[in-house]
Amino acid sequence: MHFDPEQLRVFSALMTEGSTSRASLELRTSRSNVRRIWQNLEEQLGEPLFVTRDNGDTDPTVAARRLEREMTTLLEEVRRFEATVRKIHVNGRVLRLGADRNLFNTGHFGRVFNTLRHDPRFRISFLEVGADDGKAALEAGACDLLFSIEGVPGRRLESRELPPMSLDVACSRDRHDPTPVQPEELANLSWSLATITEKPRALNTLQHIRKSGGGEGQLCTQHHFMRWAEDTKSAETDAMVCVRPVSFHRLSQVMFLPLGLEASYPLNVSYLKQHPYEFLETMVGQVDRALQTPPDGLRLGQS
Amino acid sequence: MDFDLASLETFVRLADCGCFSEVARAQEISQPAVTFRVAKLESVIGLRLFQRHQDGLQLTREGVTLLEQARKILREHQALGVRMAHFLREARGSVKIMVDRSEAGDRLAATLDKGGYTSAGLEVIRSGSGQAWDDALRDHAVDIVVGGSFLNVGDQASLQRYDLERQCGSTLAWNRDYFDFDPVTFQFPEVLRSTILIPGESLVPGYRPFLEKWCLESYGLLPPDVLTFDDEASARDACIAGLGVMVFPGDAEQRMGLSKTGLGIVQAFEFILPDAYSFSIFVRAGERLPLVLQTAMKVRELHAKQSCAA
Repeated sequence: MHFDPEQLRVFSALMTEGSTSRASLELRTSRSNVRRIWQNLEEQLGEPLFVTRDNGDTDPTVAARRLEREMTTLLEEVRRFEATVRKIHVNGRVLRLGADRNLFNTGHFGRVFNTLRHDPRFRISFLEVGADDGKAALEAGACDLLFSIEGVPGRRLESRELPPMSLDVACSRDRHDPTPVQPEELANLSWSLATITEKPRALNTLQHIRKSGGGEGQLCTQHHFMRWAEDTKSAETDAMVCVRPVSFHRLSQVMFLPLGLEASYPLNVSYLKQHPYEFLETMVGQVDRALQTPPDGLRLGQS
Repeated sequence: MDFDLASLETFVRLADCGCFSEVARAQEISQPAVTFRVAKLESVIGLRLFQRHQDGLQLTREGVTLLEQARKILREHQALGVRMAHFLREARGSVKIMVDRSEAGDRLAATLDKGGYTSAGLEVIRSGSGQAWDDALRDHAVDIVVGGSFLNVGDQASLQRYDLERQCGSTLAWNRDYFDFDPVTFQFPEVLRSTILIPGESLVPGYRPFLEKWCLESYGLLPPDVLTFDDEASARDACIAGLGVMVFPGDAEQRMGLSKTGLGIVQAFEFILPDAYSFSIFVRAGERLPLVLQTAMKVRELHAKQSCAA
């Protein structure tokens, strides 16, 4: 004998409510539907379960009482299951943030993490995702939110643009003037653009700086940039235009100055449209707001 | 319950086999429906249960926690159906009886099926379909089991047993056209050079494991092939057709009417295996329902009458 869960639900509603009309209100369905399912169950058992009184109240029969008693262990297990789910919700679900290695090391990402980490609804873990694996990682459920510069296209994915990351100029400590580096000043230096994006976007940025009077620059990888920072004095390059990495505080001979130019890299966050976590969308909004308002007018990452 | 049991079952099955198409086949739904059900369950509980990989699925930590509880829910749900069925039988005064597929069982089932022999509403099922006989009895899926058993396999604390017949030794039978064993100088190891036909787990529980162990320990070799049978009739037919040597516990010659078939027959191990085979009635220990006990008594009478006639 196999009981449909729906039958059991209707049955227990009838037991507790004591009439079809109240049970249908409780189950948010029609009275005829309740009656139909009830009759199905009776047919299956071959035994009447409720006797209807004149005023419409239903009285359980012996069979109904027995069924209710036998059902208790099942309901207990179900309740235990739900309690476990609730406990996981209270303790915080795991939220996996995926990003490229270079993105992790930006002030922007630190800001994202700091806005999220006090939220009791989840605990955060990180996952390094290669530039091309973003879509696969999201669809496989390896990470819940993916941060990337280019965004991740996909039919099942929702992408949202966050405030962009501004560019800085890294140069050796010789310069004592903390004002933004103007493009004209760059023209006198030999400089490179450390890129963490794909090539076309990097070239566009390079072009943009050149057009604003920044002179000729070169493209170099993040790796080059790090190597340069280890030994700025002997290098041929005087300055690097880059997104300021957070963990650079250790290298004291390099200082970062803002670039006096409207140039930036975008930041995208992507997630599955049908994700089990219902709060992803509002959370992304929260992140967006947190990134948009620089605290007391400072530039990002300058704290 | 705002999640449904069907999705829960899909979750458990998927966790067990990790293969969408297999689950789809087992639940008789399409493959996308499997994906959909899991996604629905995930969104209802707001947790991820699986992580998909190139080489299959992996449960997340939450999935592992919930899997065991989901299993319990499903088991309880199944048990509820069985318990209610038992309750209804009790209320209506009907008895469900499981009869094995031996010759004697066939005769019993035929008479019982015709009805009229007992006053109770009687439901007869044959063993060998799905559930093991002792589990079925313990889970209240049936009230009485009538069947054979080997040695003391039937002696279980939760079961009460009444032997209708006890037979010793084992019977070996073969088709004389295919095998030229000499019944006088017969040696058991000769049998192990050909296929043997033995009763399966639902016909004589416990026989096959015993025989294999016995062969390995005493002779150091296993027969090249073992065919198991869930009913005596088809085992006899297979033996007559020469598929192999039949090795059945007890006095199979008398039980299965082998003497008329012209097979070569030898009885062996009478001294090593007294009480090898018993055909018994089993009920749950402490069964109090008079109807069940009455029916068991009637079955006993019926069997005595029929075995006399045979």
